Amino acid sequence: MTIPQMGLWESIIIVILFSIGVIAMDEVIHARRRKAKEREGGGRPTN
Amino acid sequence: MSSGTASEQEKRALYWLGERLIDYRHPVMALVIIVTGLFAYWSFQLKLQTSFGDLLPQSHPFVQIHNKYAGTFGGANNIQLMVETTREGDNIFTVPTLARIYRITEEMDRVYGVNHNQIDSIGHRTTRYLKALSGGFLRSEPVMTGIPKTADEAAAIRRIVHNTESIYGILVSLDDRAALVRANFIEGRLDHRRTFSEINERVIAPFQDGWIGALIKGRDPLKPDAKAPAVVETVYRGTAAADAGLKAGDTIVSIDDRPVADRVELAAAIKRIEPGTVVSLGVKRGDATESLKLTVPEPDIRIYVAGEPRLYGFVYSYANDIFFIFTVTWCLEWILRWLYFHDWRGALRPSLTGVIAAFWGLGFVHLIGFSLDPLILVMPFLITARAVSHAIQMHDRYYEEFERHDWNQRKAIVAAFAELFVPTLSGILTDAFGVLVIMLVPIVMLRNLAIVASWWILAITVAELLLNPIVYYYLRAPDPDVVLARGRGWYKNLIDRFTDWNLSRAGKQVTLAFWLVLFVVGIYLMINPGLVIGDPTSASPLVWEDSPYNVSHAHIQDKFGGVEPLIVVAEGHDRDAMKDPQVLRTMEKFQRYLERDRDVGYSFSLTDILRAVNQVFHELEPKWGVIPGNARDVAQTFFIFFSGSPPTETAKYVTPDYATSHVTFFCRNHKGENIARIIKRCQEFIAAHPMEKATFKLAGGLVGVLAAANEELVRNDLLMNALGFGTIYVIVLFTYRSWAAGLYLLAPLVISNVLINAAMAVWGIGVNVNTLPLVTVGVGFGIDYGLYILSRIIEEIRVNGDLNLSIREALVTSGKAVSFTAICMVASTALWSFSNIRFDAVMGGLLAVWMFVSFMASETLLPVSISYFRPRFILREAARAKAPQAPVAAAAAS
Repeated sequence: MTIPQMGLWESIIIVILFSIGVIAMDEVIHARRRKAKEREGGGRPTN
Repeated sequence: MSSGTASEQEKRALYWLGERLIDYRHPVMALVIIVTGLFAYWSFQLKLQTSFGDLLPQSHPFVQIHNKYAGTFGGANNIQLMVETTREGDNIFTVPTLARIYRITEEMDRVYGVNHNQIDSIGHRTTRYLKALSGGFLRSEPVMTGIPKTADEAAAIRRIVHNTESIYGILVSLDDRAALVRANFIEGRLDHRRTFSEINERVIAPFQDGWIGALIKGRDPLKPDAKAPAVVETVYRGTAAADAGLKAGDTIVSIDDRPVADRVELAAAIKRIEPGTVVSLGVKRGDATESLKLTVPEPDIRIYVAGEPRLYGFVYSYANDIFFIFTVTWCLEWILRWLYFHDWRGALRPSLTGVIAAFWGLGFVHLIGFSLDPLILVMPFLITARAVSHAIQMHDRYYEEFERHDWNQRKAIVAAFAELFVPTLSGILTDAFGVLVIMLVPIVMLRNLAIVASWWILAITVAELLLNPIVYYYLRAPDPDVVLARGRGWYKNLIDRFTDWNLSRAGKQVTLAFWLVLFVVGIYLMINPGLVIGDPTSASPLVWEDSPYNVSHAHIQDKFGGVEPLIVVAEGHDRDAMKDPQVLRTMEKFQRYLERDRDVGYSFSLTDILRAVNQVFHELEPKWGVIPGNARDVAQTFFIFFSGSPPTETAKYVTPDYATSHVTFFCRNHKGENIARIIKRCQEFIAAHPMEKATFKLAGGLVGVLAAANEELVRNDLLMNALGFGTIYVIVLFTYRSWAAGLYLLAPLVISNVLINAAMAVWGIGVNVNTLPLVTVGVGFGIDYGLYILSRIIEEIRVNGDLNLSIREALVTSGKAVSFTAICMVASTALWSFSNIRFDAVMGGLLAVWMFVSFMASETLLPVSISYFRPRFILREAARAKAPQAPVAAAAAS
């Protein structure tokens, strides 16, 4: 059984980029939903 | 869902603390960031290292004997290198093969950390035979004083080997196809990475896959910094080098126009090329540079290397697996958390806790001068996974409180902090103190590990309880849609349905019956086949069975019968004790007695030399192959053999004052049960054969020190389990102020523990220095699931006063978060199953199963047993629900 070899810094860079990617994707998804709701003129309470 | 009123009054101090943490967020945050920064800096200084001495129980008498004599008679860190011819009908007694054995021995002697006086090989100066000279003189001489030049010289070496009892069958196989090079390493100078790469590059590659049929000059050991170009020393007939037209004195400067600086680079380059490929050799001959066509040959010898330093070398070479596993785990966990929380904050927050705790833990390891062993890399993952689990619980509760407090972020932060403070802290404390019981085993590595793991777990409090409210304060509050989405979807429905079924009459009966049956089956399997102490197989359990190491190990064992030493010291009461015939005859009797054991391959002692010399002294008459009858004749025989050798060479057989010597048994494997049996036989023999002038002392060598470690583990295993459970019980007792609470919470843990022990017995995973800490950590880690559920039941019953309703509410809220944390824990440890280090893979898999079983038992058995037996410590809280509620102490906050 072999798994790909990777160094410490490669690993750190990948996880940081991945995390930033998830955050960006999440923000985009929620921004679209908010806009869609605003267009519908309704929405749930916000803080 | 709890109203919070009663709870807020009850936990007024915690609500106050939560508020103050937010108020004083700047100094608290600055302090945590500075200290975490320091620990982070120290974390990056950390080294991966194994100290062999730290793996041994230093107070055990075997280890003390091992420490006392390892420097002279050899320790447990032996490398066995076997050179075997691959061509049908060949033997090692050809000029090119003997030349390589000689050079391999030379290179082995130069590997870092080797004990130069403890190398056994027909190519080493300390391996001698008795030579009869004219005039009736006898002299002991090295078998090989240099590289043989002719077939006659090779044949002479063959004759010597065949006539020397201490070499034939021991350093050269009986079929003449293999030779053994045995080297002992100084424990204090072990550098596994360096030893591994030096053996690969300098000892193996130039003579096996990098061999072209010519001896190439190596680096001068006296001028290690001087350039050593690949100068051809000798070209052998009928080889690829001869066919290519290489000549002695040529310097190989390139292969296919890629420059090679020395023999190591040349060998590495040739090794990468498929046999049969034609390459262009750049050769400097005189002042001119020529190009020769070389057909890369098939290797005509195979080199197999085994022994502890080699094994750890392989383990270190696989240690970088951790980065890949870490990367995949991180990404997978982020996806899982995002899917669960529908929000990036839910993915990020647990990561912050994990990273901060990891810095505190790893930095502490460096700060107190410890290092990380590649075999316990699963442990940091497990602790980090636990830290992440606590954070998931907190985050889930934060969202719940956010909705309950009408989208007021600050109130939600404080409420989540105060409500989960007790289960989180008691969870952390049970984990941290549960791990500390590992300190009972008098093995330095385990004690260090217990301290580090305990600190690391305690460090979770920094991120989870100190920093947590502040982080939430700065993170923008989530969209209410996101929070409400948690109450919908298939996962929530699944938990609701399962909870309803589990708490139904049929569900309760099935649950109780299911765990009872599993418990009984687990107990049965624990007894039969039973847990193995030590290693369960002859192959090393640290790497996979088909790994290059285990293949080499098995091959050497097959060829030479046994290579794992058990050194029994014959300690004399006075000088010259080893010249006493009674002592020597007892040593010989001991050898013959123990050689009858099926797992002892062969043995060696001073008496073998004595008998061989006596026989040569009497013209090789077999009847003279005995120990001389009196001390004077013994001394004379020793003199014949040892007179030409310096004390540094003879010390590996006997101390210079002839007071102490040893009997070394080469065992076929180090299976726990075999070690125990062999040691028992030794003790029986020693008890039945007292000597007047000496005493046998157990035991050095790998088998000796493993016997010591196994004995300590047997002695402490049960005690550690009992103390581990005891510690958890005491903490639970103080947390819930109830004698019964511990019993309810420990029941799932006991069942998990039995099942894991049964799994170890069935899968043949032995209890040893490496598995013990991981298994002990598992005991404590299973409790957290139960703590969250039980705390929530108590919280709910204070509000609604109904036990069954409270259990249901706890399972669909905290229980849901618990199920998700269990998925995350299982996923992060299970990924280790893909590791090249078999030990880490097996332990990762085992811990994943353990976490799953603990979770299932806490999620099903715990609530069902509470529902059935209706414990008083929970029901007494129902009284508060009926009591009139005082207004919420808003003052607590302000």
